[in-house]
Amino acid sequence: MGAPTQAIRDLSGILPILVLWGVALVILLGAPLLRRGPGSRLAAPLGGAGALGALLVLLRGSSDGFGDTLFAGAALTDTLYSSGAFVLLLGGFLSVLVAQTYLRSRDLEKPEYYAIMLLSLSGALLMMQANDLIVLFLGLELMSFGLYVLAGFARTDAKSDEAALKYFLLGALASALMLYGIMLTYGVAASTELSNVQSAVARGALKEPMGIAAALLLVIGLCFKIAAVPFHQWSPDVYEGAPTSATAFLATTAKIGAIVAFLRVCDTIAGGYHTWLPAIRAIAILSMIVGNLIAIAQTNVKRMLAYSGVAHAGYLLVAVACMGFRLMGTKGTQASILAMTGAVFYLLAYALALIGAFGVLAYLSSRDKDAQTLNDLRGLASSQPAVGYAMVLFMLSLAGIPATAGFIGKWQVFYAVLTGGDVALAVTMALTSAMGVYYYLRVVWYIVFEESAAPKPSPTGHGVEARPRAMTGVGAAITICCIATIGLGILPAAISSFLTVVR
Amino acid sequence: MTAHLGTIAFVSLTALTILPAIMVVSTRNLVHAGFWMLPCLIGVAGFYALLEAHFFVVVQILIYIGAILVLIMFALMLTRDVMDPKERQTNAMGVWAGVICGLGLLASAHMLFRHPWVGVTSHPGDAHAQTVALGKALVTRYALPFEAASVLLLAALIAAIVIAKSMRPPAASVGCDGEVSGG
Amino acid sequence: MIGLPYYLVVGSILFGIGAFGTVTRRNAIAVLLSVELMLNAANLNFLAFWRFLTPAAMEPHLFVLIGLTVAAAEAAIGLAIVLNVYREYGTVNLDQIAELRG
Repeated sequence: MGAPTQAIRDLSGILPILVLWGVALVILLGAPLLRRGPGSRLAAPLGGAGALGALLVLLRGSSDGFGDTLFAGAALTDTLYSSGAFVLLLGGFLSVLVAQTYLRSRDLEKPEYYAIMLLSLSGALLMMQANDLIVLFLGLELMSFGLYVLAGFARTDAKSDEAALKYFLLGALASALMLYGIMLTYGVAASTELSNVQSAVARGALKEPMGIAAALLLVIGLCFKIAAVPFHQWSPDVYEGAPTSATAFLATTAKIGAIVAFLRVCDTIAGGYHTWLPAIRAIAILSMIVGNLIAIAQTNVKRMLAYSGVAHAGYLLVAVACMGFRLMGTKGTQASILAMTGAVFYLLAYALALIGAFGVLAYLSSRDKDAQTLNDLRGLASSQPAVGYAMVLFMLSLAGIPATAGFIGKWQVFYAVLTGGDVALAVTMALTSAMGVYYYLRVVWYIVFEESAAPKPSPTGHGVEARPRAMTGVGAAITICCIATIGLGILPAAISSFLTVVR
Repeated sequence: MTAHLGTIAFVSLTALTILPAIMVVSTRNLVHAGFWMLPCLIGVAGFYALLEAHFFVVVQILIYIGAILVLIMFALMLTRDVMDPKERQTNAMGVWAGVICGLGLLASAHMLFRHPWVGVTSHPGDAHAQTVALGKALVTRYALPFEAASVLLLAALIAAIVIAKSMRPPAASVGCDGEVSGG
Repeated sequence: MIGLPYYLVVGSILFGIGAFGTVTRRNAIAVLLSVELMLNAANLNFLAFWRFLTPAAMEPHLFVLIGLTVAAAEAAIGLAIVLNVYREYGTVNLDQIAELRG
């Protein structure tokens, strides 16, 4: 309660969410007009405008009023939120671009797709802004519901339905575990507001079995969402079965939202690091090793990117583990702040490369062919050089080769964990990254050095150059991802004013 | 005397909740599993009454039984033809899952009884006061979660329609076109 | 008067039964039923905490309301997905729904 100014402050703090809700409602209400006829061209631009509008509102708001709690402590705005939201909304916008072309070429486009996307983004924003575990839970659910549906959006494709079912059932189990964890947290701290949880931890709540159980259940729930080993079984099936545009969206959105929430939660319970740090370190090491090992055996690019996503979840968990160093002297505090900034930059680089890579797959897909396997990429550099070399760039960025954004992100996290003094994690990270280079370079090999197996498409056939959609959404998305990946790889400072987390 | 009544109520509610719950996860006939859910949910509502959370007794019965369970029963009956009640309905992990869940339960019971609870003896307000307070809290202090929950319901509504709506002409309804595959 | 731990133990038994069902059931809808058991367990424990630890606080009520909302929404989405799978595969048996294998 309070003066009207308080209400205005609260609402302006969640303005990006309100913009997303508003545009989603407009799309839903206008759906009959947007479904067919001339109106159908407007659905994707509206969706893009929603994501971009929220991004602009966020950037305008970031000049004033930071570090506030809103809605009587339910939410907050800080630099971790604003930088994470920047990455999230940028990824959302690029995913709309990819979806516009892909859905059209596969005859799947419906205005509801974009509305659900925006609602899902708003859930992820709420999750990053949450200052209360129950709000975090609500945001997580809102985000996940959208993702389940987008995974199953190709309703007549059995694989897509199966992906949705698997994602949903494991997601429902994870959210039940998480709700139970939140309940136990309430039992220990008599509140779920993060500041109260923090003081309960300072009183030694994480030394009691109930506090430990609560922390572990929360960690498991979040690990499900970022697909860390051993909670990753859903991800290859979902990545493969979901429509490519939905895969791009769910892979980035879920990871950005859950990692930022993860950073915040672990930062809150840093006082009890004895309890959760070993678990996070074990999960991180397992994810890095298992993800990279299994990815080597994949011939389906979407599945390979799923396992590589497991490995990336491991690298990001290294940053999460750094939150545990916060109370270990000045070096540790420095490491935890470096890790936050590093993780957000990593997420940006990952989102750009991943959306770009799925964008290339979407670009190569047509009504009767869904490009997914290494064979579909064979000889791409000679048949369609622009797309081929873009894919090469994205693979190099995912592998963390210098002069790409992926390298900077990986370096920042690596530097943070070294500052924290955790040599074991740093060494695992370096070794497994080297291991990962192998399968990314295999994709590059297929694109650049293999001869195209299929007969050369005739100029009048379904060669992409002949397709008018070369200049549509997905082309723009690939171009933006390319420029940003190289630009941030050479000049990472260009964006640091948005992405630096301060405390 | 009232203490005895409370104990009797607690024990019988425990039986009313736990035994049907075991049937829900173990019976081979899935429609029966759905029906076993009913006493279980009523038992939980009874616990709410025992805990003096009167509002939630009503909510539990209206929403859980009146909406969620009915929905699930519909789905179970629509897909009934494919699940043979004579067939085993659990997968190969049954024994291990049972052992792990059992051990987890023992550990949690041990932990819960050992925990030094600092309880308070004061009683919550009566049903009317509780409901008024909750209503006020939802539009003031908890406005954000409340609004987010309503958007969540909206998203679920849209999502369910998008996924389940029949794409063929109205004649093709759920359950009679199982053999049609993607095309 | 029955103390707090007894309620919590009933809740955790319910949770354990639900977790068991979620892992072992082969029918997708039965898995959903088991998840509902787990959510009920969390709600029951929330209200037990409220009654015995913080009878003046409003938070647990809010949480239970949100838990119910999530359960209802989850049931709606889950059943839509399950019915769609049934349309494509002609079954809701999770062991037979396995087109995606690496």
